Amino acid sequence: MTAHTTDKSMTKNMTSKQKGSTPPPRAPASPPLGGLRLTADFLSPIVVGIFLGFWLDRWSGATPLFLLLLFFLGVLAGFWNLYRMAQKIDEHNRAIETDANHPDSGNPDSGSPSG
Amino acid sequence: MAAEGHSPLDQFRIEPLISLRLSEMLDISYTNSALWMTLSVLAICLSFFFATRKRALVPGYAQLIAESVYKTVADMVRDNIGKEGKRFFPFIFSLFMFILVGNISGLLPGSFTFTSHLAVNFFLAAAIFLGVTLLGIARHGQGFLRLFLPHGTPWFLAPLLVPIELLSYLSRPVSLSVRLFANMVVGHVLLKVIAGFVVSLGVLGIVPFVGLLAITALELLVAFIQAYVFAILTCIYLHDALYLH
Repeated sequence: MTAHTTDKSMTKNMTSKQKGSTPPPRAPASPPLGGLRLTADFLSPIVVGIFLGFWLDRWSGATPLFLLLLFFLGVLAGFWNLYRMAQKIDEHNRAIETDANHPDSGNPDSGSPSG
Repeated sequence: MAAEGHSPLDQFRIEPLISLRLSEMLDISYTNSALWMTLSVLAICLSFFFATRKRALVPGYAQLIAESVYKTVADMVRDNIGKEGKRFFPFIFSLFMFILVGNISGLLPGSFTFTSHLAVNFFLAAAIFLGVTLLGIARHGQGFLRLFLPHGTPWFLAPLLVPIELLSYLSRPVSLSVRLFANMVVGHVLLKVIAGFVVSLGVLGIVPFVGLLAITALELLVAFIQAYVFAILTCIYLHDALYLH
């Protein structure tokens, strides 16, 4: 059992090394960090939106307008970030699947957006 | 209570060691935070100097560690920025080592974790943000604004998507710095709180003590991962500025 899993990881390593030797045309999405990035990337546009909106309101005097506007924009931007990251993870997984020509890449652990 | 008068947040208090208060507004005292930054930089410089001093063809343990750290960062820069990334390698390497050693030295008993202060992290992140933006503008001029309109966007979505992209771009330094800050603060508060249980539970304290061991190991991992994330995101931002997605 253990021998099998190490074998699997070794082949995985080899494929990733082979991928690394050829220059990638675009930046890889680095899916191992996927889960770590999600929370901050979702929340920070909202925080920045609220902060900017509050500041613009104080500056312009149109009190609830900019706060509301930028808050909603922030939420949209947060979801947009999530969507883009999901797209990149998907792209990466597909690239791995086409790279490795044997069907043992069915394990769903690589780049699952958990956390 | 055993931990009377000792808040778990006490460890984050900044204390001036050499007071240099120039005026009401300007205080450049040498603090415990600055002391640990100095120590970290010294530790990095000295350890790399001594580890690579022999330049052996067959490396010893110290040189092996130094070389593998170098290779980790070099691979990260090459994979995430591309060929032009070599110019940014010294910067990324310094950044990675500074944050990594800062995180790890924070785990030493009695030390101070300077990466647990938003002022430090936000300064780093804001400097990166400004640098990346200036680099993009210097490289592409007006074309840099294409970053805010993804390729192949339908024209009727542009008025909505441009503000969203702009806000998402502006939030980069916040997400970069808050991520590191939050991870460090949470980890250290957790350690202190559970350490308080060890003392107050007496003999039963062995249970949280075992947990403490596990969490310390976890914190070591977090220290590395967060430094890695910070560096890799800097690489990705540089890539965006150089090639516009």
